[in-house]
Amino acid sequence: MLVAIAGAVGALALAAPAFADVTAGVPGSGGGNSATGSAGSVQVGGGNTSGTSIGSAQLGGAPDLSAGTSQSTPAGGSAGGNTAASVAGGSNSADHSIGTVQSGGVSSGTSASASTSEESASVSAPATVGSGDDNTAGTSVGTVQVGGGNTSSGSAGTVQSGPVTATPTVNLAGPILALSDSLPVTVGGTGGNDASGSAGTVQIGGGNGSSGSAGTVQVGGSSGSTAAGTSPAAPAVPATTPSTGSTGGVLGAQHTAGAQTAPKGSGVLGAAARVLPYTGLALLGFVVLGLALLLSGGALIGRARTT
Amino acid sequence: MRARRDHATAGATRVAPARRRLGITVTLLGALVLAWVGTVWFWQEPFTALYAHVEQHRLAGAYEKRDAAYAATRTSLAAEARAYRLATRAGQPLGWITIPRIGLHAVLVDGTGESQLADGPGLYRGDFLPGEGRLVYVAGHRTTYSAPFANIQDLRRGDEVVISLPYGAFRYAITGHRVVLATDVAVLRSGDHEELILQSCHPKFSATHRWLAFARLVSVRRSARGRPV
Repeated sequence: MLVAIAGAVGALALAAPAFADVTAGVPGSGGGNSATGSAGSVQVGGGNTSGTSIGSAQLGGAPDLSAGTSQSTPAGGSAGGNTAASVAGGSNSADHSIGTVQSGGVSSGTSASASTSEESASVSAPATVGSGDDNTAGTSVGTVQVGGGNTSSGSAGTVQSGPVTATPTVNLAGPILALSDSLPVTVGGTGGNDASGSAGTVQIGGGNGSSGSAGTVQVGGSSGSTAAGTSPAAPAVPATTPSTGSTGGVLGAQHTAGAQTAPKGSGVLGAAARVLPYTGLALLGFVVLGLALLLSGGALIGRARTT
Repeated sequence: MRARRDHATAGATRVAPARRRLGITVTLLGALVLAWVGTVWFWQEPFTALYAHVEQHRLAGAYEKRDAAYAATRTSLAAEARAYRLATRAGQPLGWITIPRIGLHAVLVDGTGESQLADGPGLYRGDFLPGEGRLVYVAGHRTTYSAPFANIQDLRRGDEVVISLPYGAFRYAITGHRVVLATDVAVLRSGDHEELILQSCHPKFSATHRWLAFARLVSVRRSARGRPV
């Protein structure tokens, strides 16, 4: 996704010689920035904080970048392209952190089209990472968070990303053949990531949890971990039916079996509970015990009488 | 020969009272166990109830402090609920759960492990909090630890369930019930809409099945402190 953003920014320069329409705005999120006690912080948008941090870069509050270009050809055709990138709102905080990079939800759209008098073609690739929720990374070291809704308090070396979605689409229209196809790709479920107390965690896709873990790797959301070790969450599943929803699985899979979203993770390696919570009492055993004691006691008394 | 018989008779007379005393003791023990079973059957388990009562009192105090110190920072209800969930550790009090039909008003605990459910009704940590628009799964004991869900089978369609949290009060209405096997963990899987499931063991003195009562969200009242500062 960062590649898409870089492409969007790079397109600004490429578009300039033609009929370029470039806008760059920072609407702000209504909140202020603060970087008390920090060194080398870069903050864009509103609602960021990075007290006592070093080298933090924070992005939020939706700075919009868009660029468009169009040009006519001598043969009567036309060609053009558009790029756009924006970062959703939501406030970041990185108290007591070192080297933190945080960004709100990122969305970008890149499209190109060309046409002649008889044929036309267009390609578009809209993509988003995460939502506009808040990131937090208190007492963290080396944390990178993209997409909003991530937390990694007390963590070290954590990389977190919200759910990633992209829908590349190709359209071809000619005098004989018309073709249109798209391949929706989604990594991760809804919700953000959580890696409180973790070290070396990498999480992509949203809906991951790895509190208290060390060295955890989670991809695709829908997993939880409370133990040290590596936890590959949802396995990559090739997209076979692009029309299906893609909210819980990976690469277009509608729902990955056994990968139910577990925000706090009651099991290890994404394993859910094998039985429902136990809330009963096996009273029959106590009935048997009581009767056995009564009968035994009666038998002992009876034998005492006979002797 | 006669001396040997006299000695055996003396031994038997010594054993008989001891055997009698042991028999009486064992019989009394059996009677006590059956009396306890009867108490549990017709009322609830008294010893764990005492423990749960003390724990609920402690949790109520802890929640009162937590509620008083709560200050929301999120703009959306879902984000606020999520932040509150992530900030809560297993065993901590989350809020209050009230079900008038079965006379329940108890502190809701985070977690459904043995120790958490001993303190009160517990929220399954693999699911979500009210306000997140997903599954809210609450389990409670049926015969022990104050038996918060002792009469879960009495819930009827439309009965009210209120869960009060620092950021708002959520009112649910019972929609139905279902009995599932204890291994049917598919019921823990959240859909994409808000739903409340109350769970307790079934039959009442067994652990083979689970009684599930389903409820839908009716209304939300955000608390004054539940709004962003």
